[in-house]
Amino acid sequence: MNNQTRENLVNDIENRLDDFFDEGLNEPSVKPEKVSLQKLKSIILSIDWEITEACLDDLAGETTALMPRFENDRLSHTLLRMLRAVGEYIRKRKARSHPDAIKRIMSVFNSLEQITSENQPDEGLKKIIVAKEIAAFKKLKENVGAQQKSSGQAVKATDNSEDGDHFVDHHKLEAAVSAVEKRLNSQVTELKAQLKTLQDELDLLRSR
Amino acid sequence: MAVIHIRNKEVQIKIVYVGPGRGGKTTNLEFIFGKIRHRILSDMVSIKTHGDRTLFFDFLPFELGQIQGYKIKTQLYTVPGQVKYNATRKLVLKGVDGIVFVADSMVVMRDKNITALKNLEENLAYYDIDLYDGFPVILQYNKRDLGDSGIPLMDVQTMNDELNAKLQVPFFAASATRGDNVIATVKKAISTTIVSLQDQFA
Repeated sequence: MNNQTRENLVNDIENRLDDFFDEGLNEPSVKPEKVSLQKLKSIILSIDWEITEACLDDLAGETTALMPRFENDRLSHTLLRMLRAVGEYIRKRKARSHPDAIKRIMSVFNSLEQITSENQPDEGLKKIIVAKEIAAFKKLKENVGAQQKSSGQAVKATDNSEDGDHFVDHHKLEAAVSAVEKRLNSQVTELKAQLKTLQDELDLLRSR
Repeated sequence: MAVIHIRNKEVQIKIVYVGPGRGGKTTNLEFIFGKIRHRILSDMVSIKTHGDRTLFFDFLPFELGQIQGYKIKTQLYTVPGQVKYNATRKLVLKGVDGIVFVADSMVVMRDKNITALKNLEENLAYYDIDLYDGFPVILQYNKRDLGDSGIPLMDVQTMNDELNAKLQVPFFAASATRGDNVIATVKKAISTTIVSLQDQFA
């Protein structure tokens, strides 16, 4: 392809692309609500990457700051409250947090983004999305409760069993030492008797 | 490889967005879809995991209109970025005509960008395509907006030195969430791909 042909082709393509993509250029691509979630999104992405005190502080700060803006949007407000609650839980429990807690944060944020986006679903679908998040949140709460209960019982049981083990071990040891002493004493007595017999036999042989 | 119907005067091109996981490939397609949805008949198809990660691929087909008497049909795909989905990535790259490599500008993603580019080179080689032999590729240095939130970013020059020294292809500093340079990237990818096809078949 010579340069002139190429240039014509490139011009034609560029004109077509300009027409195709730039027609709706003045239309806003995102609603203001979505823009307001950008900071929260970067915080969520940071948490997904690495959970730090700073990220969790940012999450608490940003969710609190956003709540008044969504005061009239009950569904979004519910999701924000959930985000703040799970964030607080992770901050308190740190590495002992339930493994599903982070998944909840990601999921709740995705739902929040979905119901506030430009292409947001209708009200019915929004309610279904939020209801699913509420159900999953309740499930997480149950799991966390069960986890704490079972770990508490496990610690208690371990403590008791350790004390018992010490007690049993001490008695066993005493009995074992006593048995060994008895056995050694009887062997010494037996050896003394044998030595006495041998001594008597030796004296007898010498006298002959 | 592009599908060309001489009789119908129709050309179908396939452009695939690749790059490290969480780099913004799907966000690119979502922005493009948001921009052109009022004028295309098709919908964007996304297959995602619960955590919003691309599990299989995103697919956005649209008709661009006529260029020099040929009707141009464009298909934009993304691939899952996570390392474990290489079989899927390889499959989606079958028949690819052009690539948009979406690199993540965060400092912590430096190694992942390089690994993803190496992986792309290997996967294209599977289809006998040499990434460094004039194949249509556009680089996009995404997430420039995160600098405003105090997240450490690599500067564009550093990214270009590391990713584009051998490729020497057009590149864009972009923010897919804000839409900065998203359309410029796809326009460049389409034009570069069509010119490359014209070079092959002329």
